[in-house]
Amino acid sequence: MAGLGINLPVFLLCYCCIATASSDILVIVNESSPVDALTTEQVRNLFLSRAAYFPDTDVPAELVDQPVNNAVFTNFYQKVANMTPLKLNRYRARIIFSGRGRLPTEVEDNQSAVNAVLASPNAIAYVDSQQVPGGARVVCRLSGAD
Amino acid sequence: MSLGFAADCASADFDLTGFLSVAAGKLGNDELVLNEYDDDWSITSESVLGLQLDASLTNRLSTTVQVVGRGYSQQSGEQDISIDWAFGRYQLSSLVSIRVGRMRMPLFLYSDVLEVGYAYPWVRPPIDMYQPGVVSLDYFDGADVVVVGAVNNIDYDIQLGIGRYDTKVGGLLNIKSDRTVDFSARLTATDWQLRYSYVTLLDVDITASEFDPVIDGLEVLGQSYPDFTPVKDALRTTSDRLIYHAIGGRYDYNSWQFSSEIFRARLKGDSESEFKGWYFSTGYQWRQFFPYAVWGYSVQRYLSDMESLLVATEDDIPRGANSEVDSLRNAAQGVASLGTGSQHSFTIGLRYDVTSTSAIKFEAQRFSFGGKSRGVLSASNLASAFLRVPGVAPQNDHATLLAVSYDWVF
Repeated sequence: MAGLGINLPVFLLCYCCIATASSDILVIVNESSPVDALTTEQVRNLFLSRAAYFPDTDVPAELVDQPVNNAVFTNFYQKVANMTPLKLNRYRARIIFSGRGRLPTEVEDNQSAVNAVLASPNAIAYVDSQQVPGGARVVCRLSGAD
Repeated sequence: MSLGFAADCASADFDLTGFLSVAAGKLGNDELVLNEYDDDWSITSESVLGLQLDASLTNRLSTTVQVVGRGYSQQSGEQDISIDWAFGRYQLSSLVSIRVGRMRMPLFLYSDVLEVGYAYPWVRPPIDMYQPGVVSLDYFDGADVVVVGAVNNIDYDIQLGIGRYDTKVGGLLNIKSDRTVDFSARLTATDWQLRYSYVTLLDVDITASEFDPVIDGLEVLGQSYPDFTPVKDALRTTSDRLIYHAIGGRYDYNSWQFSSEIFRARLKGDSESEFKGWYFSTGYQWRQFFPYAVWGYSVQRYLSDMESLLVATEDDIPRGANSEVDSLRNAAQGVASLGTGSQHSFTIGLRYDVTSTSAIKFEAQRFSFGGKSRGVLSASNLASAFLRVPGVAPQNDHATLLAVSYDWVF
């Protein structure tokens, strides 16, 4: 679930986190971004390399990913694409090595994701946050309640 | 999954990614060879290292280059390094892009990732579909239009391309066409995927230097004895047409995964042949373990009536009258019989995802050959198959291929 790394206790711990955490995931962009709002499907298409640009623009999205063994990463792709990390990894390998898309840039943690969005007008990230960070705009909210 | 690293510059950025497979295998049969697997363990036959560079030059223009080094190449018949992808992409809109350069021929469900072991469950894509000879048709040089999008969480990928094609199989057979057309359409939903592909090679020439002595001999004979000319023509593929269709799909049901593909190809012209193959695969994902089983079947038939053509030549020169001419007749029969064969295969295996970017696999594959053929093993070992005396059955009609592989993406 939370990761396919070698550290089994972390694996189990992250599984527990997913079972109990229920905060929303916010999809955020820079306040200068060309988009105001995105549907879940539009967010999905961007993060799965199905759409080259932000909707109704010719601006490529700079996608920001949380670390692979982070609960937010797992929760995000489960909600937006209904994919487990295992399925997502194989999907991504197919996308990249067929030249169909590029991966999001992986950052260190939740705060780094926020910082990446604040730093670039075309960045888009998903964060575990109760509040909208200053300088950013929420374009989609993924409910924590399943 | 930390795949690749990205460098961002003001006007261009690039990613460097790659894949590595190390595979060891053994074919428990001392008469046969599949790629380079024989009755000793081999680590080169399916070991592969690929590097890919993706660069965005502007908002609309990007380029992809993929270089692959193989322990054994089905094209050259030996170790080599080749540029498998090298294209520029121009994004016309969010949905539509045009690519120009060297691209993968979209024959199969996994055409795009043939060498990326991590991307599929098995050690190698099922061999009845992904046959050694057919897999060599892996890239073409040309242009295509790609439409990629999604509606109601169903993804669609449509591709239409034209190009030219020039490849080898096993270092012996040359396949060349200056006009190819390819089309593929894929629908992907959360639990299933369906795909159709069509490829045609127009004006295709298939030659093998190994067969030249036979064909040249028949050509010379044909100048004095016209009945030998149709024999020569039936062995040579020149300006013929190859048509290929395939359907494939995948379905996930809870932890069960099912996939299947089927293809049919026809070579039309003076020399006619037909090729068919399919597989059905099932497996169960339990944590990081994925045990699987695959059933497959493939058949090819050389359709030209070589026997009748040879009988017709006896009006000119009877059998027994000239031993050289009789050798040439036997050789013609031998070349023709290479084109007919069938096999069943059954595979069991286990994939274990060690980390989020690597997996180890164990597999055993059993081949059962039909008639006097050696199934797909003939195509991968043309030289020894050519030397086989027609009419004599091979000693073994089974073979088992064991393999273990480690696949990594980075």
